[in-house]
Amino acid sequence: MSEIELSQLPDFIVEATEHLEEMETLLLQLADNPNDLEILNEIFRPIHTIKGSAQFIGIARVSRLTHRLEDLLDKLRDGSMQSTPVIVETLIEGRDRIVQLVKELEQNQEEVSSVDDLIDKLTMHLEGGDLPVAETPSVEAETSSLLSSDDQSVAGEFHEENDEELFSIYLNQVREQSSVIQAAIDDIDNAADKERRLLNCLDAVNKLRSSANYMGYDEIAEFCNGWHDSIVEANKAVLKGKDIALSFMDFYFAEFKQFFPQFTQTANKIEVQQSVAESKETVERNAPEMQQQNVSGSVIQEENDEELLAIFLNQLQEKVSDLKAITADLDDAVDKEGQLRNCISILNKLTASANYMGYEEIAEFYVGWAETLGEAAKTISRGKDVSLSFMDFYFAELKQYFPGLDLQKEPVHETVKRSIENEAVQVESPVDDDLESALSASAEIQQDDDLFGRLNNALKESIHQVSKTEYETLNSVFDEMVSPKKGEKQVSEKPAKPAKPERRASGDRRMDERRLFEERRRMREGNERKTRRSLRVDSEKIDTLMNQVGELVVDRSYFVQLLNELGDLQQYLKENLNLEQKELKMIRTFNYRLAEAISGLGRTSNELQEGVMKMRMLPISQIFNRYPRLVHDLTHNTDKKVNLVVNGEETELDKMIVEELSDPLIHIIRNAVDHGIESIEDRKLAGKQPEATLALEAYQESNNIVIEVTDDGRGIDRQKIKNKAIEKGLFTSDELERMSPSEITNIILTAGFSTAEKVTNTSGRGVGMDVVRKNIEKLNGSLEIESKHGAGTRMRVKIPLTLAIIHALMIRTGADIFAIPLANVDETVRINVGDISMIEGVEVIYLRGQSLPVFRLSTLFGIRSDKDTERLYVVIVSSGGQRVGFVVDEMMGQDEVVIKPLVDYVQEKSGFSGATIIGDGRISLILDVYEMVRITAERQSKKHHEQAARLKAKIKPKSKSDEHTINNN
Amino acid sequence: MAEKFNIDETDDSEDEGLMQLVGFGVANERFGVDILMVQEILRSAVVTAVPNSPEFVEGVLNLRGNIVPVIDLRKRLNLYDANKSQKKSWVLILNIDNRVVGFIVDHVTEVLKIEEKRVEAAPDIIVSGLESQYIQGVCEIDGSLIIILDFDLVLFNEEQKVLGEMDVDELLLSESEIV
Repeated sequence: MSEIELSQLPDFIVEATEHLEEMETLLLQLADNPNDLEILNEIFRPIHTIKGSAQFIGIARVSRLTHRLEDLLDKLRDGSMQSTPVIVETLIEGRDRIVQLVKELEQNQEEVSSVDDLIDKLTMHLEGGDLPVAETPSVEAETSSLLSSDDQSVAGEFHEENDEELFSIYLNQVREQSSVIQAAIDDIDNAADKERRLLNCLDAVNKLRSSANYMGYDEIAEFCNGWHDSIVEANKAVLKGKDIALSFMDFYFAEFKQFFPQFTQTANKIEVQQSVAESKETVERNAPEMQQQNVSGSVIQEENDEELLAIFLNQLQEKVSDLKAITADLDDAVDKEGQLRNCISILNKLTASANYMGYEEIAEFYVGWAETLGEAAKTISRGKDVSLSFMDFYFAELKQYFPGLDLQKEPVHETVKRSIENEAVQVESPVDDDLESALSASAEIQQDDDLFGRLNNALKESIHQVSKTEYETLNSVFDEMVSPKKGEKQVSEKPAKPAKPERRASGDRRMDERRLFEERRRMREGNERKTRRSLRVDSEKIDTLMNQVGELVVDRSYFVQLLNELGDLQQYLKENLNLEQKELKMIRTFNYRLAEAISGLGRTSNELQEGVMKMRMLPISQIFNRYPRLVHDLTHNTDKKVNLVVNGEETELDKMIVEELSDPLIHIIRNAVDHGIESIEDRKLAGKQPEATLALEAYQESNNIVIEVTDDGRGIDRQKIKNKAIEKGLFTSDELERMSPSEITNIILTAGFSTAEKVTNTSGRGVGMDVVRKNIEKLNGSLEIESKHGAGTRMRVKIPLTLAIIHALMIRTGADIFAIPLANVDETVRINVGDISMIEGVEVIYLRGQSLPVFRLSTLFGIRSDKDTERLYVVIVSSGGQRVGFVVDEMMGQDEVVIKPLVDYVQEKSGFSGATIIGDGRISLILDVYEMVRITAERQSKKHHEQAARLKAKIKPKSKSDEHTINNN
Repeated sequence: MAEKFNIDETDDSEDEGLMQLVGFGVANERFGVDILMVQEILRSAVVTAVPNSPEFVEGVLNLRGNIVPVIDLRKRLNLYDANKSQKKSWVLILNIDNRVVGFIVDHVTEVLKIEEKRVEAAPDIIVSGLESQYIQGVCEIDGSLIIILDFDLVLFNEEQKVLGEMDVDELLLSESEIV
């Protein structure tokens, strides 16, 4: 790794990061349209670029990994391989690993994470397509991620006795051998080449043993010995032609993992959940025909340690999903008896593993189930038809044993996969008579962009129902899809391609919201690709440039001053020296030309200044774009479905703020998905759409940028917060009694507060919201929470826009120019002085039959205005439902201004939200219309006590009122 | 960072115990401020008044694109001045803990080099109505007294003035925490 060209590294990191960001967006698109050739091509580009530069500067692992990814993409592009969700997942994993490596390069100037596992996985995809290898990846990835993520902690632990370098070599080896073993024992019972696989394992175990010896880890070495012996034994049996269960390997492997602290952590609840989740993922990818070991043969651990339990659950999940799949097909299966027998054999296996784990009750339950099935099979074999709905009752009962078991997910996944395959075939089959109907059927389905999601939901819903009629509807749906398939089985090449025109053809049909959104997103991404053609500049350089431009503007105003002096000089010469017109003309001409030159200079410098200021502004889409991936990841292994809707991503913010906002928003979104949004089950019970909506919206509100994260989840349960607060001793019940609902809601912002009963792998530890609040406060922002129990939660992040550009109406009063945010301006009117009448000491005009109080800005600000003129300009503004008019001297037009903050002691209660620098370098104050209206309202109501009221307002402390907003909102 | 630190050290070792002050005058008093705090000195800057702001705030000025508050030091320090008729004033741009603030002074004199040990604590009596809390120290040069202002407090206390109700001790505490 020493040969990495370090001088090039920073450039590579920046470049790669950008490309990886691009890849992420594209990969997520690909997940929706797995065979979109265009997207595949787009993805290829960044990978290729990264590979090129990685090779150039000698970053070995990244270039190897990208090379392999390219191979895979190549195959997908030329159509010799079909992309499947599994492959897309692998691609995403590949991207993530590159991100990880780049991060490591940034921190340590070398690559730390191994890429071998992913390369193996990719190779497997390349060689065998996706089916047979389907299971390996997740477990393997888990292994490697566990290893890699905890390298450091392990290193720390062994640090005293062992050289760190040695240890890292050792760990690498462990990782390598682990993946070898994993690959070998994967699905070993089913493999034809058991012997070879066993030998592979033996080899790996031997290596592990010798390295453990070398490192002096006696215990590990001993364990490897035992393992070794078992394998030798098993191998003998296999050689003799015996069919033995080799699943004991799994247990050895599991125990081996426990030697490493990172594996031991698995005992921890979270990790178990994670691994179970991972297992679920594994199951999801499993082919249904996958056979399984008989556990009873193996004897290792006596106690049910967590790892074993995870394996058991894993198996359970797998089996149950198989059962489900069979059951779902049962009604229209030709060979019902055979299918039932399959079920029985699966149940037998389940019984065996339950026995092994010592779960007698469950084992008994399985036996009873198998018996009922046997009975049914007999009845069928006699030619009678039997209602098989009893299966559902068994499933329901099983679910009671394992509440965490997801019974719906897997089989549905399978069926959906299958239905898509069918569809593919169906689109491709040109000969079939049914083609037309098939096509239209598929077109209808294709119409929905989220085919997967919709089918999934539909199927889940139907499967959930016990009644037979529901099954029939479902079956008829299947029949419709399957029917064309019966004609012939043609290899489908690019199913998405022919389907596409169909989708377009149906474009004028009803477009659902989702699709609209999808299209918008695509458009946006199109834009994004355009802006990607960017120049990378150090932001410090821009700051310097900005300051220099500012100086230029000041210099220009100096010229203006000189011009004025020249005018004076001209006057002086004329009056005192009695120069002739001819002589004077020279000076006059010069004066005139100078004025022209100066105004030209002013224009240019002005534009320059604005341009530089805009350089710092970034659309908030910069961070919003990261969140689809976040939501995707968060819901990936859960029984939740979330539709993320993004709005207002074009809102511009200063680059620094955009970056600072990223993390707090991640927390908020995570909270929403993790705590707020319920599982599909719960949502259905609550009568909600199974798919939750998470809306992410940014917009400008007077001088703030508001970012709202709204979910329609379960909302915040205030009672629960109260209970927890008392339990934690944060407040007494008396205190809570006195609090307003919003104050109670805000308790969740307290450090260490969490109402989550259990800690999940993403959240629930009670850190987070307080950090979010802190970060937002750092930006002078505020966080508001609105929540209705059962209906959802809205988090409002309000950030002052410091450098944000707003459209403003420029007006003049006296000598000063002020800016009024255009968003607050309702209209402008011109009135005669006589139109103003006095009501209770307040000036009022009548506008279209309504009275409207007007205030002279000159009076409000205590400045001298123009001599009273007959005609007056009135700017009518509204805020908080109130409308008032401001009398000004002159309208200067509309302008884009960059808001700059005022120091708090200047700004406080002044009625200004900030200031901006106008063309000639002068400062123009920006009216805070909300504050101004408040001030005028105050004057209106307390005309007499005006002085006192203002005095009071001035004394009111700023920081106190800030706290107020945070705590009481 | 390290580099800067070194420079500071060499400075200290070279002119041991010497400090450089920018001298300026407000009303009838002579003042000094540590030269390291002075970012620049402006003559005749355009100051835009901010209506409804505290009385001692003269307004804001555009310092190369940055908006800098300008404080009238005379008003801030409640200095009595017999001959109030002012010609052109100067704006002293100070960097106080990364807060850039402009102060209007009557005139800026010369850079003074004084030995640190000659700086004495502020006398208890109040100079020209100037509250001693703003005074970091005084130093006698050529028979006249130079007041070294503690701008941290000048600025900080003026915020405090606005903050009004807040307990001073509490504020001091939070300030020291920040530092």
